[in-house]
Order: sequence, then structure tokens, then C-alpha cells
Amino acid sequence: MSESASQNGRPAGTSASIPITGHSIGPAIGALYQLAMRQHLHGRRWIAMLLLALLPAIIALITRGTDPFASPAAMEFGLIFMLIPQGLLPLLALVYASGVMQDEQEDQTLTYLFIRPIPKWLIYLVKLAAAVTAAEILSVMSIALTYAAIFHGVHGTDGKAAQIFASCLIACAIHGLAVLAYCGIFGFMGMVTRRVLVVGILYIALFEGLFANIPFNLRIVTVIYYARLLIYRLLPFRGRLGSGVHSTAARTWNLVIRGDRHLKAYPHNWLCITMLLSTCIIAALLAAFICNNREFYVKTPVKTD
Amino acid sequence: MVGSITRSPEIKPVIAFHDVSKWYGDVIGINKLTLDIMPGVCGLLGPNGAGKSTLLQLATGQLCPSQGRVEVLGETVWNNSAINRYIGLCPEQDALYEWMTGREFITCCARLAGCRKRAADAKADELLELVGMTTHANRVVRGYSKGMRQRTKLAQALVNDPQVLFLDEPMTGTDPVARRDLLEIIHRLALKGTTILVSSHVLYEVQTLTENIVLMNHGRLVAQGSIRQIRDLMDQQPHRIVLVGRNIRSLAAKLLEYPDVAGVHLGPDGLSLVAQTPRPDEFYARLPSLALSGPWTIDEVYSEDDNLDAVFHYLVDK
Repeated sequence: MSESASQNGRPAGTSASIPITGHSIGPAIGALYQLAMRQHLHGRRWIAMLLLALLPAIIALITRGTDPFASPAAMEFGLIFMLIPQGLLPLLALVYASGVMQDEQEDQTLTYLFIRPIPKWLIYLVKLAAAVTAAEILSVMSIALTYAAIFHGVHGTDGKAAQIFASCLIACAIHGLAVLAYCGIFGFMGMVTRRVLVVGILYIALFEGLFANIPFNLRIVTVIYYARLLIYRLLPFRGRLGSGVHSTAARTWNLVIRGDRHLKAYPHNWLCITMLLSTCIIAALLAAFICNNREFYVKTPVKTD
Repeated sequence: MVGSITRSPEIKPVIAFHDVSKWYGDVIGINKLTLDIMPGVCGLLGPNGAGKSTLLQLATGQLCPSQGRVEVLGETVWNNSAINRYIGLCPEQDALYEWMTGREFITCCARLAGCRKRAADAKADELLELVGMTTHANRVVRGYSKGMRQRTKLAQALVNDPQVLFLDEPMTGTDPVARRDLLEIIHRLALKGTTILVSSHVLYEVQTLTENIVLMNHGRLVAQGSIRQIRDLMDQQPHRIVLVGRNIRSLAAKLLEYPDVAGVHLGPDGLSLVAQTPRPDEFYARLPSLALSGPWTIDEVYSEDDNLDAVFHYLVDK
């Protein structure tokens, strides 16, 4: 350690020996999380995402208003188990997670984070956690309001309140896992490409839209596949409008249930949950590693020769 | 390198660059730089694109050297966030969290630096007072002028009471009052023992802060030392002396006859010339007789080398 440093009261040590003491890294992490949440929950982007999250509920209200005989179960399936996981959740995750570092880099405020005593990998993980929180808040809000819009005041559902509430909770939990996985993936994408929105939308359209709906093994690399298996198994009374092989969910999602109504040939629930969680964790750790070792230019270099 | 500072061998450098290069693809930002910055205030001078900001970003661990090693307080800075407890940076870019108030911004930075909420609030009050922003502290940053932004950026750099402070063009775009205030604050910090490296392309700003300067151009170290030392180095090189008068073209032809005149350039106005001479004493001694010996007049004589501007331009143009 340099003499000048010792004179100024720094702790003694050699290279990389300056400790990050527990009492001060905690407030820093808390402040970073709070800052990131404030960034997510204000401004035009927040309003746009809020409107997007309200869309399924608005569609439900319009449908009920225009078609008094609309089936609540069909609306539930179409909006909560088709539109939300396939359209809304990936978009929410893409918008929030892809900009974990890129937004601040573009705003040139990243410097104010990097000159603090918080390792870059931790900055990434804390900001990703805030992005996940924001996306989860909107996801839960969207699901709950859509359930309310579908079932509130519908004749014949009075005695099924607990059942509907349970379905709502299960939907929130499964979609919550999907949001986690999506956030991990899009956060990682944001770390490896500058055109993350384009790449992310292509990913959503190709993988989560196209590949997930065709009965080839390719769909095992999609998030929505595992979410659908969980939904089918945990909410059969909602996902399956018909009986046996006529299940709407199975037919729509290309799940072969002939002779295998419980999808025993497909990944088990615990594997589905593990896949969704591990996707998030692995992608987040990889991205944190990249974040720690790459440079973030906040100013375009001027050519000097 | 033209020159280097002489110093006591016992004092260790606070900031040290060891054979550091930094490339941005095929663009070179810093070229084989070896540099020691000692405690105190040091001015980092160079034109736009000289590599000043790159140097500061390397010194604050935001960039990784392509080659060589950068140390601050004896520690390698790249990927060493712990060193950030002891350093502060006032960046060049004006960006702040635009939706925050000035007070919220400083409090947030203090908390990011590890202060608890109450301590961060107190620190924000103290620093806003120091930089003269108390009255504007509750305004949203989006409406701040350039000078107010510079003050706020300086305040955020001080939230951790840094031992080493990096200021990247802190006076750019400020009005005279803000400039005076910022200079005063930097002076006070220096008196408290903070090592300060301040970059600028405006020379007189730095001249009022310190005698110690580092001159950079094209990513290279051009010179380092006190302004006086650099002036001494200049004495080994041709001086540039300006003569203003009438019939200056014939005077230029006459000057070229003398062996101590290395070159003469006519001014664009046709009323002045710049003579280069390695022996200024002989040149000045000859001037009285020369003024009376031809069809010209010499109304004004001055050296282009009398200010730091000249030193700087002389060295970087070399």
C-alpha cells in the first residue's frame, strides 16, 4: 500500500486488499435497488407498460359488454393463459430487463454507479432484481384485474369465488416463474448485444411464438412450454374446456394427451419449475460475469489521429 | 516526453500509469503512457481528443487498459470497486438523473457510496451548501443550468470525502461566477489534503489552480512538471516573437539574413510577422538598430511564449 494512502488513514493491505465492509455495502445495495425501482416505476415507459398490462382486463370488459353470452372460461383461457404469457409477459420482461445496464449507459448515468464501492456484477444483479420486481408487479396486477374483469358479477360464479381465487394465485405463480426466466434471458441479451429490442422481439416471435407451438423437441428450449405444462396440470378444470382428448389447452398447445391425460411423458412439474428457475439463475450469473469484465463506454471516443 | 517533474524519492505517487495503452478498436486513446501523479493538485491539459477523459476513466477503473497497469493509492483500479471508497469523480458528461431533485441526487449518491439514510441526508445538506446549491436543491435537475449541473456533479464526487478527486473539465460551460466558486472549492479541497487531478483544455483555469501540469496530445504524454520547468525546457527551443508594424514584408526579408533567425511567418493581416529564434537575447538586442535601419516601422514587439497558452501550443504542435 502506498505511503500516501497510509497517511490518509486507509486500512493497511496489499493489492486488492481494501475491504468492502458489511456495514456499508448493505445501504449501498438498498439504495441501488430503490434507485432502480424508481427508474422503472415512473415516466412514460411506466405508463406505457401499465396500459399494456391493463389490456387483457380491458379486452375482457369489452367482450363482456358486447357479448353477454361470452364464456368466462373461454375468456380466462384466451386472455390469462394465452395472451398474457405469450404476449404481455415477454414484452414486460424485454422492456425492463434488457435495459438493466443499457438504459443507464445511453443516459450516461452509469458512471455514477461505477464510481461507487459496489462491484459491477452486483450492480447488475441488483438492477436485474429491480427489473424482475417491476415486471412481476405488472404481471400480477394484470392477471388479478383480468380475473376480476372476467368473473366479477358473473351469474353462477358466486359459490366459486375460492376456486377462482386459487386459480388466480396459481396463474400468478406460474406466470411469475415465466417472468423470472424471461428477465434472465433478456437481461443476458442486453449484456451481449446493443440491439437487444430487435433480438428480443425476434426471440419472442420465433421461439416463444412459433417454435413453442409446434410439437417438435425444439420447444423444450422455450419458456412458455414449461409454463404451459404447469398450467395444464395444475389448472385442468380451467385449461381443458372439453373432456379427454378434446381439451382446448392440449389442442391449442399441441400437447398429445391421447392415452396420457396427465402428460406423464412430458417433463414433470418439478423439472418445469427447475428449468424456469435455473434459466433465470444461469442467465443472470452469466450476464453478471460479462458485466463485471466488460467496459461500458459512456462517451464516444474521439479519433486522435 | 519533453520533460518530467523532479521530486523527492520518498514520496510515492498517488496515481501511477505504467506503460499504459488504450485502444478503442483501431482508435488509440492512450499511447504507452508512463506517468506518476504526486499528492497535491495536478492539471491535466490537452486539446479535445488528447486522451484526457480516457486517462481519467482508466484512473477511475471505468476502462480497462489494453496494455500496462494503472494504480491509484497503490491499488490496481480495474475491477477493484473497493478503491472507489477513496476516490471521487466529477465526469465530463452533463447527464444526471434528470427526474430527481438536486438534493435527491446527492442523497442517492451518498447512499450508493455506503452512507445510511440519515448520514446521507446530512452529507447532502453539507455538500449542497459547499457548492452553493442549497437554494436550488429542491428543484428538479432537468431544469438546471450548466453551472448548476457542474456544481451538483462536483458535490456528488465528494459524498465519500475522497482522498483522490478526478475532475473532468469541471469548468466547461460555466459562467464567471460559477467558475470562480468552483475554483475556490477546489482550492479548499486541496488545502485539506485531497489529491486532485483536474483536466481542462482551457489553460488559464488550470494555471490558477496549480503549478503542476501534465500535457497530453494524441494520447501521448507531451510534458509533465511545473509550468516553470516546462518554460525552461522551452528555452532550448526556438522562441516565437511577434513584430507588428508597417512594411513588414521587407522587414521579414531582412530578418532572414540573420543566422539566429530560424524562420519568419507573415501574419494574415499583413501588419505582423512571427520570427522564430533559438537565441532570443541576441534577437531583442538587435531590434532597436534594426527598427531604424530600413523602410519599415516596428510599432509593437511581444513574445508568443509569455503565457501558458503558448507553452501548450508550442509543445503539442511540436
